Amino acid sequence: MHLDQVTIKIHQDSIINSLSLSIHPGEIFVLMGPSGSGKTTLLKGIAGLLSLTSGRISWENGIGTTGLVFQEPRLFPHLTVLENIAFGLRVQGVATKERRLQAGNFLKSLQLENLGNRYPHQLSGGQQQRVSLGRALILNPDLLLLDEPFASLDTSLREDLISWLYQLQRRLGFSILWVTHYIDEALSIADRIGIIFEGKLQQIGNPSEIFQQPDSEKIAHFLSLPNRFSKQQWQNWFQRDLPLPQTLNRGWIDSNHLQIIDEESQLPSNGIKEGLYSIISGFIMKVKPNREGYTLTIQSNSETLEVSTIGWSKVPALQESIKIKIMFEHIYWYSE
Amino acid sequence: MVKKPLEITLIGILTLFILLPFIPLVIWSFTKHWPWPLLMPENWTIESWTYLFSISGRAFEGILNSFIVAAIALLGNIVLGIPAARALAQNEFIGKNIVFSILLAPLFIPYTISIIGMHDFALRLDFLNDYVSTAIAHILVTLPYFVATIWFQYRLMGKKLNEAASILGANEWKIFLWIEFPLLVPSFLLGSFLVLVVSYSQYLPTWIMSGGTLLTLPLVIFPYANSGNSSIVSAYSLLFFAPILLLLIIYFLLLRINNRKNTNESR
Repeated sequence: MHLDQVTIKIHQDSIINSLSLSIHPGEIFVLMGPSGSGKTTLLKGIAGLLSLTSGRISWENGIGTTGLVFQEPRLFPHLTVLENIAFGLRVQGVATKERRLQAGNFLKSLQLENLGNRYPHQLSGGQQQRVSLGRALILNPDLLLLDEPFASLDTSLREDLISWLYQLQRRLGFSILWVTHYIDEALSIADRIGIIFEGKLQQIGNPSEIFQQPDSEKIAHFLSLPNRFSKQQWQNWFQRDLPLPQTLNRGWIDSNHLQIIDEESQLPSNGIKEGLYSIISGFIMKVKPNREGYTLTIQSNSETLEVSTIGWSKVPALQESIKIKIMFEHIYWYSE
Repeated sequence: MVKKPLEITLIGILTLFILLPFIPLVIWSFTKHWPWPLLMPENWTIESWTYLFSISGRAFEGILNSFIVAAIALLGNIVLGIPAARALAQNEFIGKNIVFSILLAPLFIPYTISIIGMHDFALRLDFLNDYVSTAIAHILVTLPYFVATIWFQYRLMGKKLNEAASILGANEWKIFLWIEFPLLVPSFLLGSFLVLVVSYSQYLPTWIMSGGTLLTLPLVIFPYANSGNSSIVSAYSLLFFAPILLLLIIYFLLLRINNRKNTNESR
């Protein structure tokens, strides 16, 4: 599917501004952006619920079909699970017997066997959302549009459903345009990620590109990348001019790549040539446990850094003075 | 536990309050003479009831006419009221409150003014069949009840299910038929019940629109109410109440069937 210079206005406000995007067959494209950036509007525009003010949508095979799944399941309360799933077939005029058969067969892929005669209020949240997905998927859409479909579910259920949908997608081969604000969700499924701000696509890339080379400080901030500082600040810490192109004037480093060091291990060991590094000192302001160990907030002069440690055996003490080693090669550089 | 006896007592008092007026009506309808201070009449008769269903009593004619007019009025309400309620609940447009106020106007415009307006209207619509012209007047009177009931349900439903159905390919008509209407049924039943009952009780609009020639039940009863013949008036009053009771029973039965269908648990 190709979007060509698509603009959508609602009450004279431009929500989507001449946005162009291509989604390849079988691809999962994740769209991320802050609230009010136009993600839902774009999906509704593609699905035909909102009309495009200008621009056009085209498909490789001429005409394409879409299915849209909302954040809430929006099941028809007076219809059974089977009737909900078969609704699209009913609209297409498929005979009752045939559509019941098709929907019945589809229940297995949805892991909803034996629930076909239940009504939506008799299902759990996860089951309801699976019915909602099934209702869209039974029509074999070329592109499935997902508007934060699992956002209202708890974490473990969300993870289960994501991996279930991922496997289903890889098996059936449809494309997905997936809106989410969960970074972990995006990383676990995306072939490509697009970042949208104020109705404009700011950056498109595969997950590692987006994280390693954010196009701007705005994107880096949206992705909550830690330890983002100006080139000037990094040069202060390294006490030298850094060999970087002029355009790359900011850098970030993952909290796992900052190493807390003891006094004696400061010197390069065994004569092995290490890359360019800097050691800065600071003291611990905040200690937050996480799955691997602790996330420490370190104050160094006027700057605050985030450092992760591994293991829980040694509990860092507040106000403790520490030294951190920063390897130049671990810093990702980007433009303001 | 303290609450229950109190509740039962209150419900008992309320039931008595509603039922008490019917007791003298029933007694009066079976006697010609029941002077004070007799607790019960001395002579019983079914004369009033036989008169009611005789040719000059015109009870059947009254019921039939009332039924025909109410049915046409209900049809008019369905055709006009559902689209109006839908538009008012689902769309935002300039002057929406004004349109809504006009639709509800018959509820709060003084009755005399409506009747005078209706009289003029009746002269202009003289070419119409009496049933139709009377039903038009009844539609004006009953539409606010119907629109308000349906509008409320539409507001509760919102547009989310419509969007979901639309994405699955359904056009407006299929959305209405397969999604909206089944969900509207409870309020549709209530609205229809109100329309039938209100239409059924109209006296002046019927009289004006038909020039007094279309004898619906209230028009049949009125002369007797003026005559002071308590026995016949009582019999007519009870007869007047019977269809309403019947409608109420039908309403609750249909509502129950609908609710059972929607909460039917699979085994």
